[in-house]
Amino acid sequence: MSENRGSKNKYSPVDYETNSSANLCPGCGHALITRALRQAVSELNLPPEKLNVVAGIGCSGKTVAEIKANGIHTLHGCAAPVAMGSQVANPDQEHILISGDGDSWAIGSGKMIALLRTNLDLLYICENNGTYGLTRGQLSPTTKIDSPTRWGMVSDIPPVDGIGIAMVTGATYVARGFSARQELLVEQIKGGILHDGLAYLEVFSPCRTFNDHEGSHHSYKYCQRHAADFPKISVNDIEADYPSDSELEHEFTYEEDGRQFGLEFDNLDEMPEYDPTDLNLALKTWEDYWTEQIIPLGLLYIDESQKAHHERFYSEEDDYIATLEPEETRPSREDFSIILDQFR
Amino acid sequence: MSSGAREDLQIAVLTENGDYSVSTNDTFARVLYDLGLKTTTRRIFPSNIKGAPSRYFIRTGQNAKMALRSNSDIAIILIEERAERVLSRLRPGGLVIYDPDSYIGEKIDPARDDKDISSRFYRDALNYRAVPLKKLAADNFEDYLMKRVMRNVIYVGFLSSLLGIGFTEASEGFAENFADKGEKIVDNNLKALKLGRDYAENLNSLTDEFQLTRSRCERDTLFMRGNDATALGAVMGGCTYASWYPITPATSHGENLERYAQRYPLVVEQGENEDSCLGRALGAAWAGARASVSTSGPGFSNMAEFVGYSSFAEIPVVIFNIQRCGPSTGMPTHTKQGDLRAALHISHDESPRVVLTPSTVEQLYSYSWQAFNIAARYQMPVILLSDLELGLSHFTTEKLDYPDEPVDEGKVLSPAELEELEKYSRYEDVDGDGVCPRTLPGQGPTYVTRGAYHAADGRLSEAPEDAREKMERLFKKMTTMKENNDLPAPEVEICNSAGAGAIVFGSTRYAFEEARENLTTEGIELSLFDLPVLSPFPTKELHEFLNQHKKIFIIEQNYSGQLMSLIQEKVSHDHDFQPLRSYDGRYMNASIIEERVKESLLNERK
Repeated sequence: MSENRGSKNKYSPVDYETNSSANLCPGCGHALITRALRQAVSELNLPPEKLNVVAGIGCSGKTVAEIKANGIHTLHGCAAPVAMGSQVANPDQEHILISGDGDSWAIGSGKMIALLRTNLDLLYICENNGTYGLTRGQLSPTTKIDSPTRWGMVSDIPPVDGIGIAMVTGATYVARGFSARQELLVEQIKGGILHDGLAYLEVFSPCRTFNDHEGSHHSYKYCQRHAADFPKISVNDIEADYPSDSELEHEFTYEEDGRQFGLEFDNLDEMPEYDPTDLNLALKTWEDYWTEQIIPLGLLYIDESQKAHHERFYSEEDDYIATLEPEETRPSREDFSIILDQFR
Repeated sequence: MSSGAREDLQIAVLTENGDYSVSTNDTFARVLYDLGLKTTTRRIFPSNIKGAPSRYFIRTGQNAKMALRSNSDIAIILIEERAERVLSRLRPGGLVIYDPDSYIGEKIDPARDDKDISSRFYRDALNYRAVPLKKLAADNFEDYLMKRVMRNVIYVGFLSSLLGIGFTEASEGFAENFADKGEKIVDNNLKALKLGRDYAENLNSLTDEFQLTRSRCERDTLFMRGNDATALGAVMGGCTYASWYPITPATSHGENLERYAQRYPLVVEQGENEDSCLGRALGAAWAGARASVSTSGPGFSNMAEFVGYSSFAEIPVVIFNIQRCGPSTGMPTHTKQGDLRAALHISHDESPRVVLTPSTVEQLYSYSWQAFNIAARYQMPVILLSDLELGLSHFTTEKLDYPDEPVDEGKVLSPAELEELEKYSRYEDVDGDGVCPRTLPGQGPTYVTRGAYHAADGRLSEAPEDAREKMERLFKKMTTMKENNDLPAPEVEICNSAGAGAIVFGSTRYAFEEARENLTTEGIELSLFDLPVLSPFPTKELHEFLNQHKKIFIIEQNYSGQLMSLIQEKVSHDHDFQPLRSYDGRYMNASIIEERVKESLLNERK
């Protein structure tokens, strides 16, 4: 995060704060994700009214209260369909979905698959703490084998691998973050918002109250100890950050509200074997780490060549359905008569 | 045999599911309609793709009614399974058309020396006519599929001659209907029609008693299925987003919308399950679209949690439930009206919703477009209950009118209107009618829409006064919409001399109309109350109706009398209510109603 950026921006992170509280526990990883999200949207200069934040149920979903945006707090496991309907109805809005590990991969698992298949243009943030915090610390679908709950319960059922599923099922931007690594997270969120398609960002987000104890595989300590570096990205406002060097080559460029942004990989030279645009390689590498219980942090996979879901429904001259005037939604008398002809 | 001038004729075709006869029969029904004959169809078919017995009925004629009759005049019997049942429901003097080269043909062919007159397929009161359908198809068509399919068109050719329909009239309809399938298919159809027709014309002894009377009067009618009417209604209601999951018998509503989406500003998506469909629709509606879903029983159950969410978070949506016989998987291809209570109460705790119950094609269409305005004005789910009989059957109906009120998005504040306000709170009831102005994402102040209790400004609140206020305001909308006359009015027909009346809703209306007419000729008059809406309940109107009639027949297709108990709850316990129910999955017909009404009235006289 460079210091000079704020000056060019109309918004600062404070502008995305609200006067309501999500009532999270002190030290909750989710609060740090909210902080990073506010930072990211301010750096992208996105007006709060342009943001549609769709939230599921659980500690993660509650954070929608603390983000100044058009929020919609949905049902348990059901943020995905609501986001799909909303995004398709008005793709001009920036859509961010906030969910947790239970909300996504237990009760919402079928809907996750359906969402990932579509390459809907939105950022999906899965706040993974490996427990059901809001009901006081039960096993979750991402609880690791041999990782006891605070109450000593251990699962011998293998956890759901959300990252692996996302890559196999069709997400076109797959990243892994850690709530304690703010700088990385901010860039990952920015990249995910700018990405033209479905960005799945799973954030390791420890639950201080129920899953940060000794022996837990979802604690701050555990993640610090097992983290490994993966491709790091930075997302920059091209004009603001490279005033004298706008010819610089960027890995990917995006336009947002008339501003140009570039996405770069910071440390690919340190991992010459890796290519984040190669799905097979990304999958294989990920699975190796998964087996060895290493937690890679970074952008694992990106593909900017796929069609976003809403493009299936609109041609260039079409207005988005949510923006139509009421009278434009009904066929004319002439059309009505033509329709009736087939029944006459 | 008397020379025919039939004004009301019913044909039953017994065949094997998946033998391609449905499109042939549909086309034949359309031909009959095109000739100016009032025509309706019914299918009684199993939940099966190929092989199980399936029945297709066409009722047609100048004076035909739109319900299925309990008995038919002509039966085409192509398989033996269920044949006895179909034959037992032919009128005396009815004609059985069968294929001599079939199992059943061997059993009943009168030309055979070893004819088995004790056969369970043989009845004295019926006439039998062998038509070698298989042989004609086999001799005249080359490939395997055509030999199979064209058998169906050959019987239609035979029938058209029997009914006095000109070859050109029939062939035009078939050519038009199959035009998009290519020249070869059209040619085959015309050839098969001619084969059937020629076979009939070459018989010396073919009866003329089934010739249909035809009038030449001008008419302004339509021929459509209920699912065509609800889909058209949705489009005319300004629906811009629809999501659906394939389920019998709601599928054709969704497929119709898919076709409209190619021409009109409408996004249609097939969801991964029904609650996702409703979730998508609510997401689209929240963003500013006019959204709907279509489903049937099991899918409706699946949507439960989102129905309450729609009502509580105050997001408009229209839910089309084409009821089928349940519970659970039930009988997917059979009709019932068992979702009344489910529609009224689905979703946990309590939440207001509108439940519409159209009973004719005209109502299916007009309630459908009205549903979108009602949902938008009152920011709540509108559930439209159709049923399998209405949804899948073709009806001849009066022409439909262009909606007589504009598309209304209800209280949605524009950015300009918002700017003039000093303060905006999403859930503040500014004019006291229970409905709070909403804004669309991107057009105004930011707040959270949620299914959790909240204060007027949308912020979370579990304060008892906020909870009370929210509930009271939500339910106030139900009173407001009544006061504003925003709901379809009941169709009421009072017979002055009548001591008795009937309350109907949904598909039973057609059977009731016919029964009512027949009873009148026998000197029994019945008033009619066609219930258009279950929630909010038209208590006042029904109270008036009850006061005018001593005896009230309540006609419904469910076991426990869901409508009757609702009337008792909302209007009166103390009345001579006569339940008239069926719950076997079969279509209601006039005879059942007539019998029960007569039985009840005769008992009274004793």
